Amino acid sequence: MKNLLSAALFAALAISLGACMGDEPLNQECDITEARLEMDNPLDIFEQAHEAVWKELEYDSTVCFLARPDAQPREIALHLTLTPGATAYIDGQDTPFQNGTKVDFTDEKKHSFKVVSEDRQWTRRYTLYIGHKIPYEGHFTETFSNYAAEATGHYYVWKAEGAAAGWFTDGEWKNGNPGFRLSRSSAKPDEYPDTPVKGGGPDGSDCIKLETCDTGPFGQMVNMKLASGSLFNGVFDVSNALRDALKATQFASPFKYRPISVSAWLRYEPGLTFENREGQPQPGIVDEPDFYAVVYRNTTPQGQPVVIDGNDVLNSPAIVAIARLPHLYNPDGTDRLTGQPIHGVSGKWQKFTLTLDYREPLDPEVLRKNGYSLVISFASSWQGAYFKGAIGSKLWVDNVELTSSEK
Amino acid sequence: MHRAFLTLIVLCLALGAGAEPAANEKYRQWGTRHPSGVQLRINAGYAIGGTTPLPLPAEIRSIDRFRPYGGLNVGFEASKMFGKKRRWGLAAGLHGFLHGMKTGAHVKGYKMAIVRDGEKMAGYFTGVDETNVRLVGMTIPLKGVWRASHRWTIEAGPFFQLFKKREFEGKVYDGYLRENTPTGQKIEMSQANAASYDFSEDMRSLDYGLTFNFDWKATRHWSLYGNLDWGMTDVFKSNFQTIAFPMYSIYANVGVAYSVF
Repeated sequence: MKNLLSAALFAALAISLGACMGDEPLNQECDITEARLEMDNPLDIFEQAHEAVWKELEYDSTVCFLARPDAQPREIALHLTLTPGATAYIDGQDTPFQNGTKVDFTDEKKHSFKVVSEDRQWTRRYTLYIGHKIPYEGHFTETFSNYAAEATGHYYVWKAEGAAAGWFTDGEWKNGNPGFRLSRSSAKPDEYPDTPVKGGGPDGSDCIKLETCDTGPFGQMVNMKLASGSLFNGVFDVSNALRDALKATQFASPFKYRPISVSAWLRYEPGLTFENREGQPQPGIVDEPDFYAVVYRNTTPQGQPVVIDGNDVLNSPAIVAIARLPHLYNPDGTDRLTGQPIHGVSGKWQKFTLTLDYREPLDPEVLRKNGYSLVISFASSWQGAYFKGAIGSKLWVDNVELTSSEK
Repeated sequence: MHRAFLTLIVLCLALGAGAEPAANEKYRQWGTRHPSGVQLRINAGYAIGGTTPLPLPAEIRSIDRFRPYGGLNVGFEASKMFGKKRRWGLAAGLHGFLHGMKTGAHVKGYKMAIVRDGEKMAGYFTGVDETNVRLVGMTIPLKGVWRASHRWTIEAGPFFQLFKKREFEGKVYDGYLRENTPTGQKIEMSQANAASYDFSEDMRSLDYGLTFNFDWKATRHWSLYGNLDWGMTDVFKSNFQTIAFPMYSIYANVGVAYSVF
């Protein structure tokens, strides 16, 4: 009876509410979701055909296509994909930008675009241009001395130094700080997982500290109770940080010279209590740091881009070489949590060199076209990707060095 | 012709004069027997309704699920009828209630915030919003009473509600939040990692509104009733800005009443 009554009343409610439901509101968003250069042969200026298509990976107001160092692009037809209903304008023009219009990209000429939402209430501004890749030298040293607060002042960002500056995406080392901001917006810059330590390096210069932090009530809400400090080259897609943190971490930068080894100065203090994903203490387990380098094929033979993320960075079939701090593994290959780790990183600064172990030789033709990428990654909790670790584990990193076959 | 017309009028008047005392007798038979004209009534009913913005804002695209919660309403009312014919009166009462709802709605550009222990994530959400409302408290109605016929009674007037327990919580998922403004950082949310909110602390503890009641006497003591309690105040405190529109409690009750005398 009660169910019948509920059903009848719900039907009445639904009909009456349905009757007063207004027209769908016009879209408020105004994003460039994709930008495409319409070229007969993208390889005229790009190393890979897919580089003629830009997709928004990080929240960014710059649309930058990266051409070969020697490329000289001129006028190219541009196609923009916008939020449905939105309109793009070249700054200073009253008439909307028409897809297929030729745009002058000579000498990295920058174009300002204004995108207005369907409801005309919101605007986003973009800068769009074709830049040039910086010839990659195959060797860099990073001292983590070039850091600053990011635009909103919430946390620190580290500009890559030397050759890595032109090689890493956005010329930056990436980490999980932007994701941590979503869960703990009240945190001060020094309370984030990645923080600079002034004069804290082995040689008295600045270094970077990675710390496993409590993500607070929001972290608990989305079942991510802790955040490992992380440091890598690639892209951190904040939009996926709460939905799929592993997918949010997209690794690597392409290279032209065969990487041989990556070294770093490290110091480590494990946190007191190792917790599983549910936050339960795991007595007898000690947290471990991580440091690894991975080389993989970044394009399928059909020309499609391959991006490895937190899900498959250590087990993707695209991997051709790998090197990692020593850990214990179970007979089935899974990670073994232990009270006696073998990584060897202690409370005192030590230099660790990882020599890449190649499973197959690099194809020179693929190499020439930037078809391989290198990942360099550090973490204060080696199981941090699965939200397991000890809050308070700290890994200090300094003087990271990449050695390649040439130069 | 003229004479016939006059006869008709006289006949009508006579019949009318005869009908009036008969109707009064029926009203007396079905009404209270208490010499003072006071009536005491005990009622128990099922409550269904919800807490909703009115009119429904365009941001709410569809309501996909609705399930009432609880649905109990018990209480008593005293009424006093006035005048020679005792067709008009006043009533006051006290009802205890336990009611609420669970809804699932598709929203687009819905301004909201998730606040937890001082941490805040605010912006415009597009996706699924699930809301649970549970309310326990007391209603004090003050009503004018009109006996429309010997069996039908219509009542209307203001009511005041005091909440003993009030919960307004929910979660958002299968969508994304644009942080702060529709042009802000996009934050994807899935059902597995749904973002939950709890605005219980931001609810008022006192509500008032208008109540309408229909009562049909099956026997002199037993009647069936239906009523509508239409909240006229925003269920949230005036300084609560997180939800962009006011929300009102609207509940209907159907049940059985017993007139003691």
